[in-house]
Amino acid sequence: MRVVVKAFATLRDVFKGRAVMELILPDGAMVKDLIMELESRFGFEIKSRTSGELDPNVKILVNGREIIYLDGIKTRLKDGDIVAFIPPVGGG
Amino acid sequence: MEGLSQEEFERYDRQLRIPYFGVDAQMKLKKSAVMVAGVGGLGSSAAIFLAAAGVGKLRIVDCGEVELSNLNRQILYSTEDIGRPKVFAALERLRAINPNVEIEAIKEEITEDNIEELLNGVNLVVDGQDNFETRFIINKACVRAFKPCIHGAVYAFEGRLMTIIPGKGPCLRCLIPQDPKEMASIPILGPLPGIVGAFEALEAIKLLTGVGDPLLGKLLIIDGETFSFYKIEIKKNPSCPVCGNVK
Ligand SMILES: [Zn+2]
Repeated sequence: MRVVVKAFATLRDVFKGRAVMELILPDGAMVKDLIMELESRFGFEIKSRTSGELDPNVKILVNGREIIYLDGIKTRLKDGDIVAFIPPVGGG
Repeated sequence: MEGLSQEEFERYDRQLRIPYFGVDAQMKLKKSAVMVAGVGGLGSSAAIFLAAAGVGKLRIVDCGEVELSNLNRQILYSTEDIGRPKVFAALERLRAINPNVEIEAIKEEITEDNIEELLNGVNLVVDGQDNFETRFIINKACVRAFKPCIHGAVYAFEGRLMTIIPGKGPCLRCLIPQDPKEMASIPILGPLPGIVGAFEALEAIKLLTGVGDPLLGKLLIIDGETFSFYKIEIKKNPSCPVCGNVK
């Protein structure tokens, strides 16, 4: 299945400035599988520096809904889903 | 305080023509005081629009001097201002834009020790910071003092905006639960802080006059690269260490 990844701010930099990236994932894949794929293929960094857990500052949305209100990283993806990764931003 | 002078009627003519704004709103602005916390890219744009709109008093706080690498975005300053304290160059520029506005220039770093005093006498704060640490100091103090803070931030082609009203919605700590890694020189394209600073001024004017609906509990993300605007819901964290016990 095809999943569309939208990366924001610093996370967009690893996509070499591309705002949107399309990825092929096996059917039934979950958000955590997508994260692993992004880590290994692009060096995506969304783990907390201290705990090694998923960084709580990075908002992950599937089709506009934050995954903490779905099934977290176990949220199942389906063909055509749009997954957004939104880290905090501090410039001024 | 008396009403508006003839000069003020003419100066604010275009905004007075907005039917649901008018003289009442203008008088509210005139009686208001706003702190612009940091006059860099965001603060330049916000302060210019707040002064031009006729906010009665602006307290601008920044400890920095104008540097050449500021000038791609910090539109309060000119090349000849390089090396000058930002707040003094800003004061001159803002006074030239609107001499009706009382400008208080404070050349200080915002810290835990002085923030309470800096908040004294202002109705709200416009966040013009370039780092997370100071933003969190301001956030905590604003929650404690029950004063709204308009949060703005930028990165590269991207902008963020959220209006924080203590007791009514999430705070900055609800939005960003952990201290992120600070970056030394953040990449920024000039129009982004211009846009976000203007939006912060807009939110401040709305809150001060009571006109319109503030961006409460929502984070606006401006993606200038694709020209997309997103509003995502941010919930108040009931166990937030900063605002969790504020009702
Ligand atoms: Zn909070």
